[in-house]
Amino acid sequence: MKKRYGMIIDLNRCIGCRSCAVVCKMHNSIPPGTWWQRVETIGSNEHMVPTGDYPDISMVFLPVLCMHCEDAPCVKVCPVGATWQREDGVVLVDYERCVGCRYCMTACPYGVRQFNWQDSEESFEEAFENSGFKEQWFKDKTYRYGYPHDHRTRDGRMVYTPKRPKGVVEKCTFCVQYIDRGLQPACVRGCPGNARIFGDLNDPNSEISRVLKERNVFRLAEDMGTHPKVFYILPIRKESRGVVKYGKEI
Amino acid sequence: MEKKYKFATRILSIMVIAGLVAWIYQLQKGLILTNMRNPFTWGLYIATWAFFVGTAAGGLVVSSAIYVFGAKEFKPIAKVASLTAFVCVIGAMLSILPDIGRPERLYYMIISPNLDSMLPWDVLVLVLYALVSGIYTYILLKPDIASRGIKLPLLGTVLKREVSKEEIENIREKSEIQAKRLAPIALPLAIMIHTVTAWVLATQFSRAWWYGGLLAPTFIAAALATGPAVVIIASMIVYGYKNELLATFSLLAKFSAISAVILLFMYYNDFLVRFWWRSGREFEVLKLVFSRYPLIHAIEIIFILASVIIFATRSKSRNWLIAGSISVLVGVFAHRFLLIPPAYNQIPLEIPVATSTEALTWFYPIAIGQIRGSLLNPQDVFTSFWNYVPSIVEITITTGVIAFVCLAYMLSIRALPLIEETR
Amino acid sequence: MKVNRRSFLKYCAVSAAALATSRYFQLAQTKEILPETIEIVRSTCSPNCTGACGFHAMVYKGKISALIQSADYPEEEYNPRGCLRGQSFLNLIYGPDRLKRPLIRIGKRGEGKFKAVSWEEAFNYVADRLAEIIKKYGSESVATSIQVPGTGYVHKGALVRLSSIFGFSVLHAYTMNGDLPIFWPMTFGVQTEELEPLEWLNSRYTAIFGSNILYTRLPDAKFLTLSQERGGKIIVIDPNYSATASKADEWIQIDPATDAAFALGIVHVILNEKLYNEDFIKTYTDLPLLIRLDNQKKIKAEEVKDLSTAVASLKANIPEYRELYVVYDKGSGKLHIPNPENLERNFDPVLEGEFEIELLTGEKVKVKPAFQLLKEVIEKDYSPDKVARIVCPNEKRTNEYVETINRIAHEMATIKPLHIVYGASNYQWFHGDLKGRALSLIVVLTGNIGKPGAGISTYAGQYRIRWPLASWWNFGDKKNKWVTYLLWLNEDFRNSEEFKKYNKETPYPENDIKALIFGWHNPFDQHNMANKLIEKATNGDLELIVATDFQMTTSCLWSDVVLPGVSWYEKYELTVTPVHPYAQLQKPAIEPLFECMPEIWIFKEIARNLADRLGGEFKEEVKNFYPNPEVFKQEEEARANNTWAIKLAREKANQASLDTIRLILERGGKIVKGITLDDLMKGPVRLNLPAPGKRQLMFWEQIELKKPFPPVSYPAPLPKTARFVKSGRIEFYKDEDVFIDYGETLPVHKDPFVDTENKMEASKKYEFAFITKNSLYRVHSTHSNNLTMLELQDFKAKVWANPETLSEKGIKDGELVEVFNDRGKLYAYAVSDPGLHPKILIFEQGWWSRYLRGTSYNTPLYPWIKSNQVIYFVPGIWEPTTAWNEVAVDIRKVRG
Ligand SMILES: Nc1nc2c(c(=O)[nH]1)N[C@H]1C(S)=C(S)[C@@H](COP(=O)(O)OP(=O)(O)OC[C@H]3O[C@@H](n4cnc5c(=O)[nH]c(N)nc54)[C@H](O)[C@@H]3O)O[C@H]1N2
Ligand SMILES: Nc1nc2c(c(=O)[nH]1)N[C@H]1C(S)=C(S)[C@@H](COP(=O)(O)OP(=O)(O)OC[C@H]3O[C@@H](n4cnc5c(=O)[nH]c(N)nc54)[C@H](O)[C@@H]3O)O[C@H]1N2
Ligand code: SF4
Ligand code: SF4
Ligand code: SF4
Ligand code: SF4
Ligand code: SF4
Ligand SMILES: [Mo]
Repeated sequence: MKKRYGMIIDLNRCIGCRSCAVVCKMHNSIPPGTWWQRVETIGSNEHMVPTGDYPDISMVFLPVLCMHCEDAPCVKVCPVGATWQREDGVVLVDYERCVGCRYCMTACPYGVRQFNWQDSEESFEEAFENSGFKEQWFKDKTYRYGYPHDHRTRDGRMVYTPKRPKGVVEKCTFCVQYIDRGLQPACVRGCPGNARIFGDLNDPNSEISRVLKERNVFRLAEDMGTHPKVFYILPIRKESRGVVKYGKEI
Repeated sequence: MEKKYKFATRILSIMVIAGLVAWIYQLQKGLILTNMRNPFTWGLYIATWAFFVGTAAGGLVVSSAIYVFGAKEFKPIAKVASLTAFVCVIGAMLSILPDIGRPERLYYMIISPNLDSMLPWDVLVLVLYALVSGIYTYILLKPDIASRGIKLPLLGTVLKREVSKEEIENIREKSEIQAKRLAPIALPLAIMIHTVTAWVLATQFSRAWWYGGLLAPTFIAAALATGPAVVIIASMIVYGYKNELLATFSLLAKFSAISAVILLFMYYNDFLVRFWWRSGREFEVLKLVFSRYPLIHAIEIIFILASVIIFATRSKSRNWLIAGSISVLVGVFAHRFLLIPPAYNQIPLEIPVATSTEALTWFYPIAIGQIRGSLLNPQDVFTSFWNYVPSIVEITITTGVIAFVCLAYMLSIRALPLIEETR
Repeated sequence: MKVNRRSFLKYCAVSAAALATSRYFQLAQTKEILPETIEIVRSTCSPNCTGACGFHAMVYKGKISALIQSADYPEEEYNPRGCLRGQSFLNLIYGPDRLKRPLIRIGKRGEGKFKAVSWEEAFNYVADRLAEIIKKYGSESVATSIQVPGTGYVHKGALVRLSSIFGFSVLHAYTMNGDLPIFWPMTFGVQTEELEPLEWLNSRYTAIFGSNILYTRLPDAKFLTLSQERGGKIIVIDPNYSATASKADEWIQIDPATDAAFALGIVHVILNEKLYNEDFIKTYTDLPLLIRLDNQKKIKAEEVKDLSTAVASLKANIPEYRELYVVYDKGSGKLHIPNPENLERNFDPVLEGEFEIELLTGEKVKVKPAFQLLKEVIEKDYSPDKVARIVCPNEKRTNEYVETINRIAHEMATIKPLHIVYGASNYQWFHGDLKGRALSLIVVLTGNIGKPGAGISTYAGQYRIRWPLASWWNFGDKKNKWVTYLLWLNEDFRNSEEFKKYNKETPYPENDIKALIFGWHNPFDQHNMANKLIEKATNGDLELIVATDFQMTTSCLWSDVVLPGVSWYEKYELTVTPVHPYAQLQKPAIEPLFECMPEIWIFKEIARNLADRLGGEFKEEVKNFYPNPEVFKQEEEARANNTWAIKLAREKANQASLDTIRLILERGGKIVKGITLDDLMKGPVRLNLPAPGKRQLMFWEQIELKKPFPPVSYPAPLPKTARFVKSGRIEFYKDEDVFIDYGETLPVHKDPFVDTENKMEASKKYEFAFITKNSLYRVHSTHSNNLTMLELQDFKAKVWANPETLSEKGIKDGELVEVFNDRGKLYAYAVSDPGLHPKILIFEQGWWSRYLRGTSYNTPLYPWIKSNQVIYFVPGIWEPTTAWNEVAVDIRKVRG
């Protein structure tokens, strides 16, 4: 049977550490200012600051990456088919076809799509400068972090390149360069909370399918009809305790 | 007159060149030169695009109305009207061009269009509309071209033929018939460009400010309010304020006024519906309009209302007509601009949170895509509100496009045999 | 989805089921799957947090393109270990602040003007200056310091070895960091103990007193949630709602530094309701020992009239660091001398009552068992009512707190195993020792020691070493001269009467400290308390400052010479941290960048150059700097025949590092018996710990095998530490004079600031406690300049304060503020945090001064010294330790 990839994030286990966001950035050569994955504290302007009124306060951490929506609005709106859903359910962007219209960013309800507003070299330079480094580049002039090779799908579409072209959109690929080789995505391998499961939703014996059957899960912004393939396990303990109530999503 | 013309074209040319230079600069540096960022991905360019799509319609609606509904009053200005349609739709297409990150790849729209997306359809109708309005203008001008030709710089007068009177009449008749045939195609196309353009936005469920069935009708109303205004100004430039045209102008003004009223009605009707329930995303975004953008909102309402009043009461005065037209253009431009900020600043991923004392909606912040600030003035990377003010580059490019549209028009009226020779 | 009680219960049932089937852990993934161009090298992330997480470096064309957790620990629960800092460490290896070449200062101190020089020039400079200073002040006026020995026995050891050759003073970083929880030696006679995080799964009840595990033990934090999934309860007692509190089943807010009162309130309930484990107390503690009421000392057997024969026979069989004390045996109805060398109990001591004993002198004295005294103190001062009034942050809620204390006491006393985590921030107060002693009472009274999942742990960043290292750290039989950092900083105390009165053995260089050579830390941000270091650097008191680091830190900016070292992906090193019972290697994934060199080489070269200057036996000795003199010789030969190249020096240094690791392993004793370098090359190897399954429990041998307290704390020899608990038992009654003078013979609560800030006239006006805790985004000051971490913090150093506090002070969320007192100030941006105690301001320490507009969070601090810390001197085990949080400050908006 065809594979259908999905992910579960257990919010009880998630310690909000943002390792997933960082490992994603480093492995996918994401330039400064751009994040494919974010982790925030619900209801708070500042990560790790509780919500509520003393003493009824609580903190729930919510990692958000691309949901690889089954009915992905970004795929629907992309005028040139640069964003598409692969057979295995992974929503990808073809760096060589994207015209940079950013319609998909308008369409995506999750704020996960990121645009290359400028050449990534310049993003780095600007970042070093604006954050107060005396020198505006890596000490080793040729250095760049991230998986070093371009990655193409079997039909030859470029879905990952360490050196990002300007004027195109990018986002989480479920680490296509790794999963195509049978490795787990970086944020799953890199989650010190053991809060994540990645796998084949179509295989009833996969860990993800088993856990999905057994646990209460929800998906973000379900009312948008996007049918995300990223599932969350409810942080129930917290809600049964504090007076802070989170919306129906949580 | 000549002096003024020269002055105007020179200024416009400078603006066009400035816009072009700015665009080339932007192509080099990337869209970082705009003030759009990840949470706020469309801005002035898209607003201008929607604006021009609106003004483009007016022309063709006016001229085709003559043949479809027999609105004779419009006949004297038909050529000017369809010409404005043509230049405006070109203007519309030009305004999205700088918004495209990779314009050199636009050919993918043709070789691999995604028919689920509204954008290829929109491009299609815009191109068709440009074609039709171009052909339409040509058809209307055919007799005059035959007799007087087109005056081109350097090349001089071209296409001028020695034609007899009968022949001219013949051509005129033919053109009349062709125009009549084209009109039924042109009119729905004119409607389509707004509808499809509106659909580009209105289909987006994640943007509560746009989503729904009402956006397309308001787009049409806005078009029918600005179209006539553009035609009024355009005609005055060509023909001046003449007695024979008084009725035409006044009809155009009424047309615009009625459309503007309908626009305002639909707009506030929507507001009321959103307000009544006082919760949910639709309401939240309305709140945003009044809390964050009261000034732009005031401008759109005041200027549109002003134009309605002027057109309803002073449509017989040259200066008031001009004032009214400008007023509605300004108002609708503001209206177009206001399409954007509330749509983005209501971040779609929101989570309601209720504490013991308050209920609030929390928006999931988005990484903006750039590192700003300095050591002494550090700036956030993640934000749930983006204070968008168009950058100098965006403004220069946009004014460049607007100037281009005006310049194209100005040059056309010199080149094309628009004014009846007999008079 | 609405969640009600029923679905909660359902959830619990489901989660147990899910666990049975779901693996959830990430195991190492086959490296071969990646393209051949990419090489994977396993190393160990080894900053000051001592997470010691195994990492895989993805190496492409000689550069590390990405890092990811190696997830190769044999216990699947441990996988993966690692965090955002370790994952983005690349930003430091390759970042703009990376050092390239040796630097010598050309501007004023601290100005940051340097010239790049060759290694040779740098060493000549250092050696010349050192020789001068040694001549003028003696070699002990040269001080060196390293941090966190556990994360690198080899290269850090090289600096200690260098010090040992020439007789430099070594500043002990452990106490300089305030990481020494001195209640440990006081109570248990050890430096520290702790459960390995895997053991948290066995705990049914975990009480966390001010340890922010979600940040500071990040790779272990999951064991809290896993423990909950297995039905364990987690409570957090903290004045502030920390990230860790958010994961707990219950958060109890208390006033700052009132933990001792809280603990004693719990003890009150335990004692009153007889919830204690009597057998345990009688066997393992000093509580049955009889105390003289006249002088408050434990009565010694040799003082007692009828016991002299028994004493004589026992004395012969016990080491001199032991003392013989007396209990009243219920069975025989006689006085009895418990054997301090054996905890097997063949007597039944009474715990309560008052007795009269005749002394050898014929004098009769009244005595009571320590337990009786404890009971009296607790009864008198620590009833839940009284405690609630001390700890409750809000008067209106006092009754609620009485109920809470009662309830928590019952839970703690009855749910077993109980594990208390006592955070570093919590003990880094002036009276941190008292809190620790009080908390220990809870676990000991309830018998929660020596068993899986039971005990009290202090997870400071860096603490004890695992086995003797003298073979490498000491040069031959030359000993190291350790010096207390705080004594250097606190001249007033050093010259005070109080110090003279209590100090017996704490050394200090006669001519003060004149030169400082340091590595692996950044003292000018992290330790310049009250600007003391900067002052000494500016006024020339310090004549030479030499830094070793791999990046240009604030301290490097203040140095005269900066020597570029390497990171843990550029060298061979042995990492054995205390919390995680594994020996692991750091392996070079890449060549050192630019001209950076492994530290072992740097210190060897300093030794070689200095020996040249000083001559004498040194010239011969330095040839043995590397464990294998052959390796040293080869480099010298190359130098002589001009074939020396940096590459060669690196090869030799690597060889020497591996030799050293072999040496250290061979001489490590039982705990590393059978573990070879080859084993370590393959991956992490668990140490041979005494408990079954090699698990890291605390005092397993004492409790199960009845061995006397304490176990050895390396590197100190047992006699040095065993004298802290002369009875061979867990001691709650301290009878050294200073404890009697302070009224601290038994654990008591003392309010913060009373004995410190409030004694300083000026400080009375400062109403807030300034707590400088650790950040999620840094390991102290490491990662301060990590671009990715900066992004996640909005590039802003922040001060957290209660919304009320801010509005009182007219400060809005996000505004630039100044935290200040008479001693110093700090600039940061205000964050409104409803979980914060209204009388506390929190700053996440570790920002380089450059991010603070040149200010420093350590300038408002003061190097307080509590006198009971100078009665013994065992470096890093019993000596003055820093109290970071004993600081009163105020806050105001920065205008303009
Ligand atoms: N990410 C990261 N991890 C680290 C380090 C790092 O720098 N970064 N450093 C390592 C090192 S060297 C150390 S020493 C450890 C320290 O690790 P921790 O012991 O966890 O130290 P902090 O983070 O300073 O302290 C955290 C908590 O102590 C609470 N606290 C302060 N005063 C009191 C009090 O009087 N009573 C109670 N009950 N609570 C109080 C604070 O409110 C705060 O929530 O972390 C180690 N781990
Ligand atoms: N106000 C306040 N101050 C505090 C604390 C507090 O709570 N409040 N906490 C204290 C505590 S608990 C501690 S432990 C200390 C820690 O303070 P420090 O020990 O000074 O810790 P770091 O700032 O991490 O400094 C480590 C330095 O070593 C360098 N380094 C790391 N690895 C290597 C290597 O392999 N080779 C070389 N050459 N250099 C290397 C890093 O680049 C970094 O500059 O801070 C203390 N300071
Ligand atoms: S890495 Fe894991 S635990 Fe940390 S924030 Fe991400 S999902 Fe949560
Ligand atoms: S989350 Fe956004 S980007 Fe990802 S598939 Fe869904 S709509 Fe597309
Ligand atoms: S920006 Fe690129 S991916 Fe997004 S809709 Fe436009 S062409 Fe498609
Ligand atoms: S799956 Fe890969 S690309 Fe997606 S968020 Fe995780 S690490 Fe990033
Ligand atoms: S910084 Fe500490 S916790 Fe994080 S990966 Fe490195 S050793 Fe582990
Ligand atoms: Mo520490």
